[in-house]
Amino acid sequence: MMTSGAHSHGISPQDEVLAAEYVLGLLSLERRQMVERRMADDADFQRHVERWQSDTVTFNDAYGEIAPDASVFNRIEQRLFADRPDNAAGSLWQSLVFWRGVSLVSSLAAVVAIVFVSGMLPPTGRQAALLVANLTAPGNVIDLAASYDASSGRLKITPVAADGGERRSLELWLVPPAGNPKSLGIINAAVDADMIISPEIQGSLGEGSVFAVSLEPFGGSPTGLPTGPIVASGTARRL
Amino acid sequence: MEELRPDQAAAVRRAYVEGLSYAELAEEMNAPLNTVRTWLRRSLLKLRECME
Repeated sequence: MMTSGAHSHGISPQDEVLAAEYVLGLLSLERRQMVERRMADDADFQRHVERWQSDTVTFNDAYGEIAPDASVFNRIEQRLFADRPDNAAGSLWQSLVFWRGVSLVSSLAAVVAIVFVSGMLPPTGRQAALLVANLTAPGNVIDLAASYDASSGRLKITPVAADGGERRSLELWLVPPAGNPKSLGIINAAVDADMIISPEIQGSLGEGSVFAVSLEPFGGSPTGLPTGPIVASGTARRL
Repeated sequence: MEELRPDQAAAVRRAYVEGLSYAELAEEMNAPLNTVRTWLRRSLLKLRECME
């Protein structure tokens, strides 16, 4: 074998370029039609075209999706449909309303698919009313994350690991008089909820219990025991 | 794509995403059409080589 890798499977560099040019849309109509005829009876060449298609599809990932505003959309429709005589009135295929509907349904399907896949929800009014600030000072191990919800007037302050370029998590521990510390959970500034203590740990929590907070890799200790430095600790007492 | 020179990668990307033709690329780069065509074809072969 003396292939250079650029044209394995017996395809010439010219054909490899032709396949790429077809996928990138660089060919004239005449040449495109030639490529399409070629693909129909040359399975090897067709595979090369398909490979370029799957290799280039990721280029789209660098671009977000936005909906054109109504005026832009109208101009696009004008350009597409304006000079077409409406001689087949009633024909579904020429109906602007029909195609608008199809377009809307497919756009919605795309949006639903994106939301479904990413698990993200569209921003709500409540999120729009949220303000956040990271309170920090040089040399801190812990910063404070302040989040203010303008819709309820509620402001919450949560400790967060001072990043230093690397995302880390703060983990809260119950340190028993004997034995290993038990994780009570990650202190999460993003989740608007109190930490819930599991029933089996509730029994060992009382006056004199020692709490500690350690700095852990993002997401919490990988071992189930503190791995990072203890940044704060204290003993519980009755008020 | 990281293996390509930034100008090569940008030209390939713009041809694909923005649908630029060789003539439009040549105009943008202020270079003769045939030069741009040869240059981009070489970039495509390089890209294929990198993706093998």
